Amino acid sequence: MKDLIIYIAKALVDRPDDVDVKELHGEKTVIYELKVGQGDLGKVIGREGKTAKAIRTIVTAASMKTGKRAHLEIVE
Amino acid sequence: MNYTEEEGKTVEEAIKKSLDKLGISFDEAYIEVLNDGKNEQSARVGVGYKNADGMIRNVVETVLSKMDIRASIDIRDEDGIYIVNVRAKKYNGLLIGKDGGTLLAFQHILRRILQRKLPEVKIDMDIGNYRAKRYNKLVRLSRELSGKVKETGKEVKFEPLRAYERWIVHTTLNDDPDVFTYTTGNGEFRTIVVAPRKKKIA
Repeated sequence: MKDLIIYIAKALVDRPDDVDVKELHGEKTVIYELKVGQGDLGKVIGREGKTAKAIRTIVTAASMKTGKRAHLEIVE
Repeated sequence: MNYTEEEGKTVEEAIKKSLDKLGISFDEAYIEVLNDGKNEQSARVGVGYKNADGMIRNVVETVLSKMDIRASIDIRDEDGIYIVNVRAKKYNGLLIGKDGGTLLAFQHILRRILQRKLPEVKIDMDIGNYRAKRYNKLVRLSRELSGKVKETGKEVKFEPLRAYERWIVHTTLNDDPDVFTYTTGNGEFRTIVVAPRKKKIA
């Protein structure tokens, strides 16, 4: 899952080397904190948050396979 | 692998390195200079197959493999639009999502990623022919409902429809002289009403 988020984020931003994802494991949920480089926040959020919503939808779908709920947070 | 980014002392060196890695010739390659190496940094280039086909396949394959999903990917060029059809057997439903939501999310990401490399590229995505079937169903339903409207002279409302689904209904009934369509409702309840052009005189 972490790899999936990193791949998508790196492919969308101008500074792929600054992309980082941290995992925080809860009992039933995993929180993924996606960090992008300066000025790249808009690239992963998109117009009216459309891209962020799309990434979250894909993450949710992928989490159905793992059986553990995944939650994505995006920070700069 | 269909795309790579390499560094070198000069742009030429970085390009050669990339071409060797991909095993393709200069003519077959799409090349983007990411850093010309003139400001005391090393030169950096992005190189991939020139055909969008290979690049689209690479992105779809990578995303699916990271989701642990095996699928066959079929890409065809239809009047300048790349139609990407993914077949993932028992995972089709997971990839389509409720009312096609996951499919549209995947398509959005795919378009955003590809537009960075090929700004002009147009992509439509489908999974297990879901959209093709949905298209046919909506065309059939539009004709059925317009028939009902003509018969009764009363308006008929569709179930909630997505933007591209509303477009399908609008265009299907556009040429019909007896009915017209209009949009109603907000957000996820937005849909289409088919209405008679002339009120029936009772």
